[in-house]
Amino acid sequence: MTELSHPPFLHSGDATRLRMADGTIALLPAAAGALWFFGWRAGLVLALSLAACLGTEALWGRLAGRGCLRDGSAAVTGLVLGLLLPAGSPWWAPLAGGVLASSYKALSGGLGRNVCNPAALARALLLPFLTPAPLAGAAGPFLMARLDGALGEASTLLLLAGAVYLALRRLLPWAISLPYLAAAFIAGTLLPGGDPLTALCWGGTALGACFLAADTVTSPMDLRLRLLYGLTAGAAGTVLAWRLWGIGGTVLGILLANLIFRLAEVLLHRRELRGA
Amino acid sequence: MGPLEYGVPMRRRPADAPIALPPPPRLTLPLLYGEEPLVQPGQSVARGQRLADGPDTLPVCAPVSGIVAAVSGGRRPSIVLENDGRGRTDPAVRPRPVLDDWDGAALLSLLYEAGVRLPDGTPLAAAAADAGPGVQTLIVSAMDWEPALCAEDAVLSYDGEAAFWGIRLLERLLRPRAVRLAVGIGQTGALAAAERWVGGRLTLAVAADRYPGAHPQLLARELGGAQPGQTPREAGVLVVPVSAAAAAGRAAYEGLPAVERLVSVSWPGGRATVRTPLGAPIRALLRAAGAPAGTVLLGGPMAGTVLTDTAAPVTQAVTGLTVLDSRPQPPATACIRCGRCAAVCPADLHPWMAQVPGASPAWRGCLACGACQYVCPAHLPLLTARGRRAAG
Repeated sequence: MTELSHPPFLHSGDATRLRMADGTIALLPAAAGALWFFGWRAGLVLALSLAACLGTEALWGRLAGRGCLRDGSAAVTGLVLGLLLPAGSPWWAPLAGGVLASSYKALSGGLGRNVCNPAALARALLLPFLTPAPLAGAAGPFLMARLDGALGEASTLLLLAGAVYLALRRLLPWAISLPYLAAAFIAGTLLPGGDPLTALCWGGTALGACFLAADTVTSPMDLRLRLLYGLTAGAAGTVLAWRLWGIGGTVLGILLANLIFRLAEVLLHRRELRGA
Repeated sequence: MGPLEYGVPMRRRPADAPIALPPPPRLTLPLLYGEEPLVQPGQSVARGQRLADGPDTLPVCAPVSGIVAAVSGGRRPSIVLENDGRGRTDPAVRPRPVLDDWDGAALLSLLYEAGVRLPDGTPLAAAAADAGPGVQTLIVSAMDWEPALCAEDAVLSYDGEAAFWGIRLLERLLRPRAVRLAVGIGQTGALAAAERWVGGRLTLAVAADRYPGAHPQLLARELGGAQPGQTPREAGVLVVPVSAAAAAGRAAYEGLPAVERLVSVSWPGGRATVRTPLGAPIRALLRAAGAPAGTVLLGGPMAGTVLTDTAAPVTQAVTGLTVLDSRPQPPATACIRCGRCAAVCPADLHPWMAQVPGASPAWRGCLACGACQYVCPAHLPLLTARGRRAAG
């Protein structure tokens, strides 16, 4: 029992572990959809990704001599990474991705210290080996069942169901997700040969807007920076996805925004962060 | 977003009728401000009689009639009174004529003689004199600092007449442009009582149930037009708790100095308001209220301090007591940069920077309300970190 010597002695009940559990639950509909559309191969990808993330984090924790896996964040990373990989991935891809993602997080200093989204980073590093096709010219319907690309693209509707759950639990950052979607729509309109409706209904956009960009650790905290962050990630992600690498474009957009806006936040608070 | 939209939602419930404390056999009156005792051990005193006084300080008066048991000096001077249970009142305590023709100096001197102090120890008369001619807005707050407590609410709901005498006195003394009575929206009993008395320059201001909305700084911002970062004094605002106004009112119209008060006792699953004479041991209040055993806080669960000695006497600084249940604290995780601490901070600060190694966050204007720590999902000790930094 801890010593009760400092106020406040009340708490709102919010907890990191609960947030991570909610994040995992929100991804389950999309994971189920992937299993439905792609069968056992999808299950293998998700399972390997989860195992690699959890195992790697446990190993790093053991090496560092501190407790690990208590907060549940590795499970979320594992699921997201799995949803970013195609059903046809070779067995080593989700494993390597999980190891990369958890190692990046551990080497950054653990939970809360990483600048880039670990799942996005791992997927980006695997791009040369698993290059998705550009989104342009891809056939719909996107709301349910698109083959290839990534497991998460299978069903935008199921991803949005997860997003609704997050919103009900007051965990969906409107200031990031809505600008992301708006930017995706606008980019779809402005791109030559672009289709705004496709851009908006694509699973990668939903994944980016509601799960990748919504990661609290890698997104800024000020309201104005959040709005710009959502816009940047949405615009960059859609442009790169359309022309170049599908889901790869989305993750690169996220990583770009991670870096730019962490720098912006450091500059905004430079006086206090430097230590006067 | 106005200042009363900051912070965290916390419901206020109307106070129940106060219960009277069974007359305590012994009362301890600490002489904290350099008062000189005027009585000897063995002397018989009456209720309201002056026991100690000093040239630069307020008098201390007997809350009950009885015999002076001890007058102790040293580092913790105090007067101990044995209650004789007879309830004799000092002849000086009698209703006064209507004070309409009294001038400011006379009213101030009345407040000094009454010995009314604000919970932080400042004499009400000193606060009023200090605010003086520059006061534009007088805010009388019936909102307890912590929503779990209800002492101020009980004063307005059940001692409303004395409260309004006091407000009238302060109005005449300060002559502000506006007098606002701040009541939380959940305080239905107090709202009903206040409806009877508002009028003229006195207006009712109903505030949302948010913590720390009752902080004087935030009340001054919301109701007195103070700018962020400006103290209430700089903005020409004086915030007075309604319990102090009621004590002043009783002193003015009944002649009774500050010798008793309403104290709110709160515990998980229950609450009570106790009318107690000053000097009663706190454990007697807890027993009378029916509070269970546990850690006792002076104040509420958000900003209260642990009280180690429950035999300590009730003073004008004691407005509420909280008994905590012994729930273990969940373990802390690393900061996940969710930003809720900065979002709820009423002073627009960034408590999350306390977790960044090497950073020194700005704490100026921090109200030490603890809202940041309350919302933090990582259970980080943000308020404690602030205190440690502020201490040096």
